[in-house]
Amino acid sequence: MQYEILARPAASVAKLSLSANETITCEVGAMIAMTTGIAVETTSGKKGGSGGFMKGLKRMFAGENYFLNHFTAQAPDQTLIIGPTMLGDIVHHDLRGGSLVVQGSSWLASETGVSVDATWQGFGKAIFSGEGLFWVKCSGQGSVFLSSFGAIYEVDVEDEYIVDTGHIVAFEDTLQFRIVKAGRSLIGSFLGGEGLVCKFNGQGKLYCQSHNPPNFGKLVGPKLKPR
Amino acid sequence: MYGPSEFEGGVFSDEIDGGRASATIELSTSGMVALTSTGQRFGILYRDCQLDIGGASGRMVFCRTPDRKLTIFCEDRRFPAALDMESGGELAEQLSSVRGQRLSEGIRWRMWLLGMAIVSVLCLIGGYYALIAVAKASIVAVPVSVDTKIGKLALESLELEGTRVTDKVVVDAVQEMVSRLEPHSELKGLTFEVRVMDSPEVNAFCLPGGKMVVYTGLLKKAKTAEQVAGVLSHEMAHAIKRHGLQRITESLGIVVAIELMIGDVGGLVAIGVELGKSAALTSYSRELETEADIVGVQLLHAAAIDPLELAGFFEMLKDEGDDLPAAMRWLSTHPEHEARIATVRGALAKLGAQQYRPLDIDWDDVQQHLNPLKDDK
Repeated sequence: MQYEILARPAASVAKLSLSANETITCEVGAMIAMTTGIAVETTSGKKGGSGGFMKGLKRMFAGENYFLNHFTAQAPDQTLIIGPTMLGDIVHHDLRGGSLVVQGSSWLASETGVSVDATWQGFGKAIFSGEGLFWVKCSGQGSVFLSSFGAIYEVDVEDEYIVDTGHIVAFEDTLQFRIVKAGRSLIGSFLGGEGLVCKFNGQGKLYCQSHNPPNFGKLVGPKLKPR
Repeated sequence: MYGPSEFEGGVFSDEIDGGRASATIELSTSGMVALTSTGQRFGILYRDCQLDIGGASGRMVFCRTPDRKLTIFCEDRRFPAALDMESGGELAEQLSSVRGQRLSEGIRWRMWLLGMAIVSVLCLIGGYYALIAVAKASIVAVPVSVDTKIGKLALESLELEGTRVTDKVVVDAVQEMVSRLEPHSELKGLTFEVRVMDSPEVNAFCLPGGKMVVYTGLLKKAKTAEQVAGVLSHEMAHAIKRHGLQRITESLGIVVAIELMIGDVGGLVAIGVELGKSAALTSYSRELETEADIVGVQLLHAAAIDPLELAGFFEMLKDEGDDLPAAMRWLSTHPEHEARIATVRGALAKLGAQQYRPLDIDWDDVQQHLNPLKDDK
């Protein structure tokens, strides 16, 4: 599979070139356009597999859809264009074993060698990280496409790194994060507008997004006319 | 399939394309070897190994070289024990430290969560009781006309036992007791109206606003008119201290508190009438019953009726013991006789001297007029 990410970072779409019999699994509604030689199959688990009921439910808790769409090229040189719901960026991550922990709704697509499940990060993180209760866990080998609100920037964490709550897109399983206060004092942290932040430890790749969807909603929501 | 000393894990190294690769980790007696899927081999001797724990799961074990250029990591739950065994105790101290680190982290979070849960529960309980306290305090500001309205509507919706007694001697006798007590009510605006019902039930009650009901069973049980006046003073005290409104607040605390705060007495009346239908409006807590006993004694004292007559009524009931019929509902909702006798005596001891006067009632005549009335007992 070849890929190209177009119109970065504000209105990104991923243009995927599939060889015959190649399959890509996407979130429901991600397909924008495609050539006619691609077959679509909808399941709650792996393509052609069964027993995805629990995984589907867990994904729903993580903010994703219960169903997955599998796009399989029936002929050579097929093109599929996918994009996220929100205005923002797309990034490609090459998963080579291990897993990638993705915030709910940032998983866009992955190759069939990647299993898409949900994982629990603990009460504290669920309450204060600015993300959902569950996170999406991508495990295995293959390409993973992630989407964001705003631009995505990639950080190779070597020791410690701090990200504001609500700005995490994904991180490798070799990284651990804790919720800590931004400043020395808790009151100062909140007065400074930062409050609590996510402090990462370890070694691995971290993806962050430039904008925070809840904050944007709070800013724009009151200005919208009631329907 | 992995053997007992083989684990699925990964490697961080600048020599790997992209810096990271998944690998199969093999443990030997001198060190560990990681074999990546691309065929690259990396090894760390136990004596050079620096252990750490972390990762998204919080249980991933990292083994690093001192220069940190090579890291082999594994999330398998069996890995720490296998590492301890294969290294022959060389890594025991470090393993103990990382295990302790993970444990203390877990404990810290659990303690924090427990603390948050306790604080939340305390805030909820405190908030609830604060709201109830505010609601009770707000009762003072509610006009007495609300009590009257609740009492009137509740009486209309109640299905009273027996038929209404119209015998002038009986009705006048009870009215005389009320008339002696009423002028000494500390709450102005109340009008006490009493209704005598022909029923063996040894019971009497007073609804908010002053609507009273006395059953002939109580009149027959009493040895003197003053004993009945004692019971009535207790019931009147409930209305004077507005226990009915407090009862409504206790039953539907938050709803009533909000209604009182927004000044919606209409809702209060509706709830009071609903409670009145099930007699819940006149079922008070022990604290309110004790307060009614004390205020009743004060009322009797002020009206120059001997409060010890009330204690005498309790004494008589106490002597009759547990053979009392089930119909004696007035007793079933009230504190123990001995405690009540003590309350009456205690309240009386705090009051000044008083010249008690008997009620202007011929009790024998009243009893004679009561006898022809139907008695199921």
